[in-house]
Amino acid sequence: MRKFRAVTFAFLALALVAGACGGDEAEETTTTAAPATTAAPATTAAPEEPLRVAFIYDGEIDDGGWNEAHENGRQYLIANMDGVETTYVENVSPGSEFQAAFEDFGSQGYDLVICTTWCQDDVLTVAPNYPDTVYLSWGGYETAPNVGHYDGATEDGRYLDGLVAGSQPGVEFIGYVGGFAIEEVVRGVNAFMIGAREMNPNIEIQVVWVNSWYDPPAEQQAAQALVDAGADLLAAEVNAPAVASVAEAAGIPYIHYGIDGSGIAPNSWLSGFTFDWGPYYLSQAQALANGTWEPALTYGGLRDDMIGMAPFGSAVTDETIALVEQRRQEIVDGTLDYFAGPITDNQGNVVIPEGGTIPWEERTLCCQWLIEGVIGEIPAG
Amino acid sequence: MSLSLGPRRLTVESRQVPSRLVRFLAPTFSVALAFVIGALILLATGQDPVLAYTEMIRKGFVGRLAITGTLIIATPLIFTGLAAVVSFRMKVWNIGAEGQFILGAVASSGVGLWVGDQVGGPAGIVLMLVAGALAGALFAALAALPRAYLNTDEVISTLMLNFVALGIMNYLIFSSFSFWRDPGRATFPVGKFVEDVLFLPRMVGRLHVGLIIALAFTVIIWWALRYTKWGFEVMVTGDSPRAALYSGMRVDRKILSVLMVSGALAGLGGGIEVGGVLHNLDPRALSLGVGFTGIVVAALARLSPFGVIPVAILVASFSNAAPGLQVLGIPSEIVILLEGILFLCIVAGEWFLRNSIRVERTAGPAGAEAPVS
Repeated sequence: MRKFRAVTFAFLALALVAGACGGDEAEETTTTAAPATTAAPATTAAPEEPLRVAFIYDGEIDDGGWNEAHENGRQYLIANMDGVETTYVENVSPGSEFQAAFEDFGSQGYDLVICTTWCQDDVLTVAPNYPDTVYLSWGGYETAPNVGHYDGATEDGRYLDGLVAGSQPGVEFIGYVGGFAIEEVVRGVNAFMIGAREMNPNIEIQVVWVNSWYDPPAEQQAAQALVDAGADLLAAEVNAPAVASVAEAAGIPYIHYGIDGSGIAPNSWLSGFTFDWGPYYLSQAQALANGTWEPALTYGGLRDDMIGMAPFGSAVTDETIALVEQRRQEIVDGTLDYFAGPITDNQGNVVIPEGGTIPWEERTLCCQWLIEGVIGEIPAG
Repeated sequence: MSLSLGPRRLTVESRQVPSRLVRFLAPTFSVALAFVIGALILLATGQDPVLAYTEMIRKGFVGRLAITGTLIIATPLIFTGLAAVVSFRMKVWNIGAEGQFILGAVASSGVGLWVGDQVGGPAGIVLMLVAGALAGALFAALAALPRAYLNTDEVISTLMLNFVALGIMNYLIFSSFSFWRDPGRATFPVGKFVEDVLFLPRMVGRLHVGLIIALAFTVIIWWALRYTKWGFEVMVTGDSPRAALYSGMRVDRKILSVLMVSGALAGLGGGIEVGGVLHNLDPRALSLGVGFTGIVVAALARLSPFGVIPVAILVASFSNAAPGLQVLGIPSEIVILLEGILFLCIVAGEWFLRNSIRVERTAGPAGAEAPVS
């Protein structure tokens, strides 16, 4: 979005400069800064010291994906906790803008600042200067006295998504649009395949990486290429609804990522796991209010209510819904480990031997391999 | 150029060279007009413009954190702004500052990781920054050589090379286990961090010496354009390549050197962002359109090197103030809106500075009315 604006303005600027021929340019003229207005101090006295929480998003809160899921978490916090005062800022960029925003909230004495994307290093740059503010960042792993991190177990949800996809009659070739081939995304694809093959051992998945975190045209092209290649179901691990639109237009079922998006593809919609950040945000805010907060790394899955399922579409049978619920319960109870070996990668190597698994605490290090049946490539470790 | 409207005819005439006073007043008036239009839009959407502007100034400029935050964001914009100034002065259009900035960051983080703490702080930092500038210059040369000797269109080539640079940077971190990528950080792929001794020294808070380097290069560019033979030839070639050619100037070499200097400035900006703020190759923080915004900065500065500084700071203050505005319930879009309106007003102001409109009656009594401008 931002970049698009920068490019547009740049071309307008170019037109301006290119059009301004024949003028006698001189050095001295410069534009002057903003008109003088007196700056009034805007300190507001807070009634009975509420817990002040700030959320920082790198995109827009109604993006239908990643940021909206976090915004839902903020709403959950507001609805479930008394004496909490939240605010949010969107469209903040990584690097110096993140750092400036963290500083700003720290200097205003906010109790909790939550950054909902990768920002660990920007947080660690600023946090030591504001020891009375607690910072939480998504995906980080290096804690500090006032810095904790959290991440959701995508793979838990993707396994259930795979069950739903694999249960669809006639589906054998799944098109999967991913952002970058990083561990978390690859882990999700692998879990998806485990679920899908549990229902139908003939299923193959073709993965296409768009090599961007947000690029609707590229996502749309990737999805269309998969449909043209014969995909009979589309799944996405990207934020924009472009893949859903392609599935809807092609009349094939669709699995969404991270949030309830049933509205964007009413006919194609099957389901998709959801990130349920609310309970975690609530627990952190309550711990702060009670004075029991400790810096921690939280990796939450179905068991922790950090991962859930969106409503099912009409094409999903009651039988499948019951099975998904059963598997969910088994994961919650700890009786099912879908990563239990043997697991073979798509090069034919046994990556998890019989009796082996990927332990919970090592999950985020996985995966640098694509599971058997997935067509696609990832960078060699 | 003229346009008939019923009984009237609008005629556009170019003005004589405007006076210095007019040249100063026009942009000032444009900026003021932009803020007035912005205020009207704020009012129309139920926002309080006084509150919004007060907050913009407060979060952009008032207090140590606001000032340092704004200046840190402005630093890379000064470099990419200067990069645009240098090339646009000669009417050679380097649209590739974005890519040159990125490759500057790639090269300087690479050199930083390579030297580690072997050569000590100052020498290591100099090596990093030189590498950044060199990478930017060489990357610009990819477009400059064919432009100079085969007369290809540099707008297209520099623009497309931006995507090449972005692809290279993303590949190094997100799609490979390159020398730049930290193999230990699996949650999310990030670049390895350079040693602490290679961090640019800080002056106040997070404000690093990159700003001083930016100011120094502004003076150097101003001086080079104004007082050197090279600068003179750049200006002459910009005004009339043919005249430059007839007077014996090597226009091809000038094109090459101007584009490479432009690329070096952008690349140096990338190196300084790595050395001063990021300390690693962070593709998300390095692909924010700084190179494109630099073009806007240069245009608003009317291609004056010293103009780049206040404009870059103004634009940076908008970015720095945006979060604070949102906390007050003023949507972040207002900042985008203001930037756009400001820009359009300056473009319009510029046009009126160079042209006047004469309204004439074509029917009825003869006699032109006063020009409107």
